[in-house]
Parts: sequence; C-alpha cells; structure tokens
Amino acid sequence: MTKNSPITREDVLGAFAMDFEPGAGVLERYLSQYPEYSLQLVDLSRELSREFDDDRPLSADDLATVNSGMRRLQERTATLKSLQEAPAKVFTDAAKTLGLPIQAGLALRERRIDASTVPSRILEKLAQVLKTTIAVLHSYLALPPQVSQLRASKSSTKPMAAEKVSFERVLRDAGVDEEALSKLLNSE
Amino acid sequence: MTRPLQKTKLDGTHYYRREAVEAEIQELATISAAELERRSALWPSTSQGFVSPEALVYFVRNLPAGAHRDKLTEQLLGRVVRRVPRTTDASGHTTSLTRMNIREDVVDRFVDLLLSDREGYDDRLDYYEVNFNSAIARDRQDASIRHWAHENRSDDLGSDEVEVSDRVEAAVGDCDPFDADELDKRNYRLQLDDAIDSLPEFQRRIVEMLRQEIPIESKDPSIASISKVLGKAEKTIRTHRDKAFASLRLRLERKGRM
Repeated sequence: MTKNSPITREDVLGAFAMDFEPGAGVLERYLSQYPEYSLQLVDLSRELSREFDDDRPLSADDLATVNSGMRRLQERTATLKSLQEAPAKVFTDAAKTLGLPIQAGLALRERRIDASTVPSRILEKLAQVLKTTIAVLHSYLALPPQVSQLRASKSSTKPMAAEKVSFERVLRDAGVDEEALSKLLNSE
Repeated sequence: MTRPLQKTKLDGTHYYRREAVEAEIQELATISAAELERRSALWPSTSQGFVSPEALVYFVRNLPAGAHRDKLTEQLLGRVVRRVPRTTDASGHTTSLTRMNIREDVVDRFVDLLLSDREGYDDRLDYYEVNFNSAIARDRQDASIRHWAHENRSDDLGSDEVEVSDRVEAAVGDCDPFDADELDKRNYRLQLDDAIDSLPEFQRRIVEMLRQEIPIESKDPSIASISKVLGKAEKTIRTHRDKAFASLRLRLERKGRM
C-alpha cells in the first residue's frame, strides 16, 4: 500500500490490530475515523482483548495441528502447472545446485531432455531442488519439447523444431569434459 | 542489521519492529543454531531465555531452508496454536467443532503466508514481526466470521421498549464484571472471557465497547457511541447491557468466583 492507494478494510483492521492497547481509546479513534468498519473493529477489539492460559500444555490435538502444518510446509510441491510457469532461473539455479551446466538447466526447462536418459539419482536430486516429486518431474519432461522464444528470436537462422535428446548429449554440447561426464552419468 | 519490514501503515510510513524485538534478534543472531533451537522451545514466556514469537518469525523468514529452519518453524506453529482458544476440555474431549475449525483455519492461513513468503516477500507476514499476538487475533476473527456464520448467532432484540425484568435487575445489582480488583486476577479474566463468549453477539459487542470505554450515547456526532455503532436506541443498549451483565454475573457465580 502506498499513500496514494485506497485504504482497504484489510489495511484498517491490520493497522487497528497493531495499534490496539486495551482501554487506551484506540477503538474509539478507529470507530470515529472508519465508521464503515465499526462492527468488524468491535469484534476485532474483542479478539485482541482475549486472555490465554499460558500454563496449559499443548494437547495431542494441538500437536497434530502443528505436525499437519509442518507437513504442508515440507511437502510443498511444485505442480506440473507451476513448473510450466516457472522462470528459467528456477531451472538454471537447480542445475547450478547440482553442479550441472546452465545449458542443462535450460534444456530441462524446455523439456529437450529425454527423461529416460537421466540417471535416477540426478532426477531425484532435481525433483528435490525444484521442490516437486519425481512423478511430476517425469510428467513435466514428457511434455512436448519447446524452443526458447527468446533464443529463437535472437538466432540468425531459422530455428529447428525442438526435439528431445539424451542427457549425455546435452552435457557434451555444453562442453562438459569426459571425466566430469563419466562422474555425472555413472556414479549411481 | 535486520531486514527492514516493507508493510506500510495507513499514513504510508513503514511498520517497524519494537526496539526490544530488534535487540533480541541482534542477540539471538550471535548464538549457535543449537542454542537458538533450545531457547525457541522454552515456554512459558516468563522462562529465562524465552524467544519472542516476533523474533521467531524473523528467523523463520530469513534462515535458509533446512533442518534448523524446520525446527524453529515447528516451534513457531506451536506458538500459533497456543493463541487459538482450546478445543478440548481437561479430559481431552472436543468441546467445540467450530473452535476446532477456527484453529485449523488460523494455522492454515499462517502456513499459507509462510509458503507465499518463501516464493517472494509477502508483506502480510510483517504484522507478525510487529505484534504476533495481535496478528493472530486478526486471523482468529477472520476464521470466526467464516465459521460462526453457519451457526444461528442472531439475537431477537424485541422492541426498543423491552423492560428489564425484576429478576435481571436483582441479578445485576451493584455487580460490575469489570471490577478492577477482580480483573487483576488472571483466572478471573480467563473465566470472564469464557462468559463473554457465551453472550449473544449483540450483547457481546455492547460489553466489548463498554470495556473499551465507548460511551453508550454521544451528543457529538463525531464521537462514536455504542448506540450509533449498533444502530439501536440508548434504552435498548442499556437494557441489553443489564441483561449481559446479569448473564456474566450468573455464569461467574456458578464458577464460584463472585
């Protein structure tokens, strides 16, 4: 929100919550200034005044709620759709994390790699870094290959139809030497 | 140097953390990960070395992904859960499905914000670094609106000519549920909260406004009054205030407090 943007209900209630002090006239001030939100302000005042028993231990239900929240945070998985919409940086960063050349990251993004030629260990790590599952990564790589619009438009020659190639070919084209190649492809 | 907050106030200036929280973050940044995890688990807030929820939010937002951040996040979610009214009685039985839904909603909303913040800075989380308990109170209210809406909370106010029955008059007597001496006692405040929850919405709002010293009636149209906020005549407000006080008193008496 900036000074020029309209003040929303969210902004007013958020500000009230931050300003609130019991019995300090804060509610009165907000009721006078924002009568259109008066009932919400009164109800929020009630919530802000609520007492909690700090001595009570967390119940089994409380802990189950915490665990379920943690699961949601940890299992946050990128979907097929979110991968398709992800910027190139997400893939090039993932490639970098795995010690792969940037070209491999771009080839992944453009689904120009035949998933069956990628060592499973690398696929697993990729899925982990991309915050997705191996199944989603497989589905993503199975989508038709894509030619980067940006690079196609910069090319002086007419772009070739994109095709899926082996992981090894992508690495070789990127200039990965034999020793590194052997490590990447064989150390299962 | 802690990362400054980006959320802006109504006047366009930025929110900032309380000085005590800033100092706490500086201090916690110098201790080991293991020590921070140990201290984050300390409870209650009076414990030596207790980490404020505001500082905990700061670290959870700013630490790199990994086991350390997960441990702090788990403690933080525990703090969220602690700020939602209990859903079970002493024997562990669920007392209110609506409250349970509210709790799930509040935690889900907080997790959504954390996820969104990880994708790209979400300034709505800034509120939790300014005043965690108040920010959670907002979430409770939002969740309450969604869930209580399914229940019949409307009140039959009758006409403005409702008379207070003798029984109610007698019950009210000189009773003031907001007696300062009583309010000093934490158990009393907890019981009073429960009692207020049991009131019909209309009375609950009257009681809350009285607590915040809003006048029942005001001649000055620029000054907020209970009568104006609730759109009812002064007499109706007084009648329902008395009914509310009587209910509170009876409820608190049953608990042996008054």
